[in-house]
Amino acid sequence: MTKDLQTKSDSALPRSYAARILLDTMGRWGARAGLLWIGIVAFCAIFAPVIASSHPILLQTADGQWTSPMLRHLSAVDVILLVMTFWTGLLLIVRMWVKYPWFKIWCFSLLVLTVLSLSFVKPPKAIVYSHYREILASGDAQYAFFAVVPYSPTDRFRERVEEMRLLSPSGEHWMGTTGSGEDLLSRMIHACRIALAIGFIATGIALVLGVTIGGLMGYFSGIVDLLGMRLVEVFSAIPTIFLLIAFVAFYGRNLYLIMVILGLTGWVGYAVFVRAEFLKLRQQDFVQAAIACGLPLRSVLFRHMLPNGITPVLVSASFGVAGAILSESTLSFLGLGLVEEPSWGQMLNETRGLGGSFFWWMGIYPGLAIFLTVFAYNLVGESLRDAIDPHLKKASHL
Amino acid sequence: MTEPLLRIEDLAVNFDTPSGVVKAVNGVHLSIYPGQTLGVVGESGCGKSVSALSTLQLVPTPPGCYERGKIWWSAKGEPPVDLLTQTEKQMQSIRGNDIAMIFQEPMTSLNPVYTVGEQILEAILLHQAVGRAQAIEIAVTALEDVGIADARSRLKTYPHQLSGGMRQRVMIAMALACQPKLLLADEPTTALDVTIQAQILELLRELQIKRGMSIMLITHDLGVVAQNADVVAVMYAGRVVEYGSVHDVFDRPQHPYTRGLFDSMPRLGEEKHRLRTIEGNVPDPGNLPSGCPFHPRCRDWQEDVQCAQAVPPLQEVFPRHWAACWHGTGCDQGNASLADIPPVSTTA
Amino acid sequence: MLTYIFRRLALMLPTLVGVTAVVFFIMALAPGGFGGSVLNEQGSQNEGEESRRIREYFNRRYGLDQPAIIQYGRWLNQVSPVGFLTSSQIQFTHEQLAEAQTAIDADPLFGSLKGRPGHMLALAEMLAKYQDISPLEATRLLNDALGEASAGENLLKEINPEVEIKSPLTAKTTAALLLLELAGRQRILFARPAVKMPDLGQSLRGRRVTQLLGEAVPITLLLNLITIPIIYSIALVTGILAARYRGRAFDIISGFIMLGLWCLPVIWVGVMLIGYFANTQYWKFFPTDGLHALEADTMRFLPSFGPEGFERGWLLDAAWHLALPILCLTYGGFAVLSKLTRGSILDNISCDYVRTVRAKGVSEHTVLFRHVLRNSLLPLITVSASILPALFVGSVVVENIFSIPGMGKLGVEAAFMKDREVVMGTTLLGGLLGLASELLRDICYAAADPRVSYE
Repeated sequence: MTKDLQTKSDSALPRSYAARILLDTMGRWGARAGLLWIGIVAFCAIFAPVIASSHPILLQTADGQWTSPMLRHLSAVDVILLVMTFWTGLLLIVRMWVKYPWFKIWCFSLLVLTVLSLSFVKPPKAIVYSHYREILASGDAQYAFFAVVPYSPTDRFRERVEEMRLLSPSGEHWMGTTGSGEDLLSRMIHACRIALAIGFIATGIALVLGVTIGGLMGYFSGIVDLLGMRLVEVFSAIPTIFLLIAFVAFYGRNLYLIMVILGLTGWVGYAVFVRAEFLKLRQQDFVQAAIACGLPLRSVLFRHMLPNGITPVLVSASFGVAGAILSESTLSFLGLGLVEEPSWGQMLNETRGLGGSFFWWMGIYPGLAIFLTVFAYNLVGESLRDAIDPHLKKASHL
Repeated sequence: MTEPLLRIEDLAVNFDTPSGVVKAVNGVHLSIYPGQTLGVVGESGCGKSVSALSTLQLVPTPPGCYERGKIWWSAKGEPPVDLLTQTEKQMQSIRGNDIAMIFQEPMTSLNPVYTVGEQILEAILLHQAVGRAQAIEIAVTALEDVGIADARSRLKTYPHQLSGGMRQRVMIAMALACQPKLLLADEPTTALDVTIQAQILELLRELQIKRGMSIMLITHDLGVVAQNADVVAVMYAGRVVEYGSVHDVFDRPQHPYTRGLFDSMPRLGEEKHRLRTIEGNVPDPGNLPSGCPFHPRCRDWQEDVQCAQAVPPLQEVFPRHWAACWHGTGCDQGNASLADIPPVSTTA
Repeated sequence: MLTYIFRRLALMLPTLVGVTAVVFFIMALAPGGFGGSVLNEQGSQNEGEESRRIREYFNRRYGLDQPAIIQYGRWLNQVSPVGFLTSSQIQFTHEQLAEAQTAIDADPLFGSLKGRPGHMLALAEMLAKYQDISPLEATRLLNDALGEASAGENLLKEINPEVEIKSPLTAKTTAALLLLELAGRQRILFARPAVKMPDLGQSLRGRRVTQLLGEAVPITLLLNLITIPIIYSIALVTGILAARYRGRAFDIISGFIMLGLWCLPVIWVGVMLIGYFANTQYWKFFPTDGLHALEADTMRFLPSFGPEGFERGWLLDAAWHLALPILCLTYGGFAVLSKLTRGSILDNISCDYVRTVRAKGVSEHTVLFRHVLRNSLLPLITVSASILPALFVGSVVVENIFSIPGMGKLGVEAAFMKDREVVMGTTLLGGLLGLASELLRDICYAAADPRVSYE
């Protein structure tokens, strides 16, 4: 009775389901706070080489010539990220006035840009960071304009390594330095990339795999389902972290490999979920109608069934992103992460030095970054779940 | 004329919802006499169930709130007490003991993890000073009374092993195990098959005669009321709009809403024609129309100033037959004071 | 119910085979593959006869020269309690060996290798096991091989077809070569299926995997056995309180704290705890690593006052060492469970049956604890199955941070070393643990919910 009263009064405006969910989600403070932090991390990830770099943004040599070593040292990935950020913004602004197939243009330009920058952007291989400090000191350079954080993540101050190691936070190094003399803040900023990329790509792979396998299992049931469920059982019986460790230990440390592995081990949850949804959906009239119309399987599965079963999966996907970030930092912490690229987990691993010494700045800052990012994704996930189903609150995965 | 067993006076219950305050019950007057069956009829959302739940203080109180009104309960020979002012502890001794209630959904109204026996025993052990062995005997008798064969072994079954009709019988047995004086039956047959419905109603009638208890029978089915009730109260939008003995109300319905309900019901022996429906929808309880809440749907409403502006009070249009309509026909006896509303006799 | 359990147990077998196969082939197909670090390091430092020997020895021990699928079959056979015996598992009786001894002593040919009859007997025994014949027969075979060069050559070829014989064989060289070829070599005797002890193999460093696991598993189990009750008791209490005072300060604050705890990475908490509470720089309240102090063996069990004042005793010492690891293991679990408990109770409290119970006149306390809680626990049982494997994962990290020699640390170290047999052993045990906890969950569920039956 009271339920009747409540539901009657919030008859919603005629908006699409997705738009309503999105609007509801954005109205919750948890989602806003979470997205704010993710936005900050994304900003740091995209503009990392501009915010933190030992290469001066502008440099005037003794003969009065202006150069930009920072631009010259941008890698192909840096260029793609920076250009695509501005290009996407431009496309979206234009779209406010003119309707056009912006997404196709976006995809196309991403492709072109990737090919171009991979083939033409060739930053110098040998980098001597101390070079700038030397020429400035000797007067060979007149003027240099540095980034906000004037240290590259791999700048080890080779000219004075001993005094640069393990400095606690100061005005010069806001978050202190690592055991190799690198600036921690710079590494923190550059590590945003791995955190974001790992989260999204690994979850993306897991989603695609899980949705496909789960969808096929739910749609065909019978023998496909039986085999699929055995596969699911096998993968859920292997302790994930252990599989990850085995994978990385045996195949080496490669960012893309770690992403793929996280994807390969994370699909099970989504598959079980989608399977259950599809088993229910298959009985419904509109699916029967679509099959009766003779639509191809692809169309029935992905155009008619998937949109109706995907929303709860997206909720667990946002928790999945948090999980992937945690997994990566755990791997890095255990010493199985990337060697060259900075990662939060790896910095955390350096907190404890030999002989039991403890460098608090390498514990606090990266740990806080991991915590906040995981917290942010979980907040967004919770808001999304509440928006989709305010009455039913179930925890999906841990 | 004896004292009424239960008298509800000007009861109002509000619900705080995110979209504003909803007045689920808004000034209900009712009374039930010993041995009498009161039928409460109305569409879903009109406040029938909330009125019954208020009697036991069972309205969930974070969203709900007893706005005003009194519910007088007079057990034998004692001065009447207001149930709304009773403490939780006092209510616990009344619930299930003096006043019992059965609900609409027999499928979900029993705790799935306990056996039928445990659930019946719980009530008996709580209210009666008996040992466990004796309580089991009482439970068996209660189950036998509601027509369950092989009652002793049924005690050990779980609710999910029983059919809907059987579960409702168990609910009734549970409610009646402590010999309550009043039974609140909230749409007890709505979720059941028609044949089972008839059996359950028949059972209720038998038990009533045998034990002399009163029943408040809440339903949206006029046929059920006609067969089982002595007195009928028609509710609309949180108010009683017509009140009288079954004969009076069925023979000459006074409120346009009651008439609309009768018109929308097929009758035997009449020429076939399209049933008339009541135009429009039940108003949103959070946003009631001004004046008589029924006036936007009323067939008799003309540009009458009063209908849209003031809520009509419940007036005695015929002797012992009340209606809340500005167009009241019948003999005008003036406004009956709220206090002595409505002594309809059982022997009608 | 019993048939159901048996069916489930039977279904566990193919799943376990699948689990081990996945992990095995990941390792087998990896470039560098098995034992990489040990083998390659030694190979690169000293590429010569020595490293070739070591490589050959490992090839023989693990069958690495065979295709991956055969290696896996070999591993399965080794692990399975029912399977083919391998040559090393044959045991001869004393009578059989004495017979062979007599034959060796009596034969004049062996006289040429006099002074080493024991040596000859060992060789005969090895040959007998490898060829699955009796010791006496093996002695005769050996006698022929030593006596006639061509017979010796044939026998060597039979044992290793790739063996190259450059110079004509003397009895002495035949014996030496046979010894070299037979050392450490096992052969699966297809003619001898039997019920045997499952064997998890040998680690790279030579210890039996069963022995390694036997040391590690009790430690991880101990951690989990302490952790689970703590998790459940804290989660139930806070969850019930939060549901009871829904919307009040306790609910909101505890909800926020639980969400925060849920997101706190174990690696961070662990490092911070050690850094601040187990460090001479700050507060040296707790030990940094291990399960016991070095002198724990000499301690009394309970705390006591000895000649040198207070002695904390074995029990307190263990608790002292375990405090921080247990803290790391519990907080995530009870955060999740507490939120779940609260949600589950709130789901149930608005159910129809609760209204019925209230209408009977039952007190709020009884409503909550007898009726609502009992139903709310059902979803928690479902979750408990995922908590056990999650705890295992948690202990991988915690054991590595706090240097506790449990299963997690063993597994990670084995993966680092690319020690296949140890990795497989931990995987098998971990998988078994996961599947068993799933089965246990389903049984508990059936016991707790009368609506569920597996008949």
